Amino acid sequence: MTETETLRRNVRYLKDRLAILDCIARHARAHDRHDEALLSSTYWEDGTDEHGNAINPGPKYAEWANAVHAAGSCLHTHNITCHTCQIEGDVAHCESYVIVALLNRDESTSRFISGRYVDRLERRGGEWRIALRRSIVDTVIAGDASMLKNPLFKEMGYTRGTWDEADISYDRPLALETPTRKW
Amino acid sequence: MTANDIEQLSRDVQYLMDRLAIKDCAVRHARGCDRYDSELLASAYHEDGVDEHGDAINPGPKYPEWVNAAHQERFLTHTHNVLQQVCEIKGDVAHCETYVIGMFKDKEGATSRFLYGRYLDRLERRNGEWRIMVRRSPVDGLLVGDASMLTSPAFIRQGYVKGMKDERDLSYQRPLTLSETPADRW
Repeated sequence: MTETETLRRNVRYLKDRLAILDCIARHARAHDRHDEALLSSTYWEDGTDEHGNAINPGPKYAEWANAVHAAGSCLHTHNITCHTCQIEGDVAHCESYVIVALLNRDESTSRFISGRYVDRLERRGGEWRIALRRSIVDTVIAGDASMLKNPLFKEMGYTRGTWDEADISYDRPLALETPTRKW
Repeated sequence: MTANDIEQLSRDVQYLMDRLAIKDCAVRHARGCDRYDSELLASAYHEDGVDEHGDAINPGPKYPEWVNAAHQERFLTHTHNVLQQVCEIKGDVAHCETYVIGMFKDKEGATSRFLYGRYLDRLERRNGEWRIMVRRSPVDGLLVGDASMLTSPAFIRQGYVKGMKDERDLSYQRPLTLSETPADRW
């Protein structure tokens, strides 16, 4: 292989790895902002998602996920940790660890669910999206979050996330003056 | 593009490939631990590599045997969550600090624990492959919490798949399909 061919192959590989991880990161973000359009964009039309007994076609997943998250929490973050990716042509098999951190509806307790997304992604027309996602739960930990109601915390004036486009993550360009919801 | 340009491009791309390979090594190690995959775990170390976990000092190839037994004795399931990595590469040697949150479901009772800390690694590239020569594992803190949710009817009803300690784990399935596997559910 010539130097140029090696370069091309390596850059292709690096771009693919990043695009795949970006898809998974976008999925996590879309969960946490309840962004139906963004969440749907991470699956192929004919893609499928499995969360335990709940099997949803890709385009329907967002509706299900938003409802389940809203019923069981008032805020959450999906944190992607270990990410393994094996690419063979236009198919990628991935495993992405996730720590789902959820603030319970009482706003005084939290639970963390540690698990893994096992994915088969496909590249079509240059774009990587999820063809099949299966979810595994490995362990959980629950604890106290009452500090959030403590006046000492509240007076620090931290921004609180929202489930709509008022969330600060949508602000373009990001500006110090943009008002946000506080704890 | 001049010959110089191509050379610089090659160096840049090699740097990106190295950074990715080094991160992949840490992830491979974590996955190897959590799946009790001795072969995968050993592949993160050089033959003459060494691992320190407190008083337990193991040659790389022996680490899987030690850690699998240690995990199995105390915990039902666990996830080693590798986070951000600071990495300095000088030629064929890399020094890294990789943050990790280990989550462990206690074997007895309804508790889980979080251990948070870092892996300090010296890796070497031999024959194009990056592997660990020395790993040291400081623990910075821990948190114990409640895991009773795992046995609650509301959770069990949802029918989530459990992880497996061998190749029946969904993460090994090729190609991944929805077909019913022998995998357990909670």
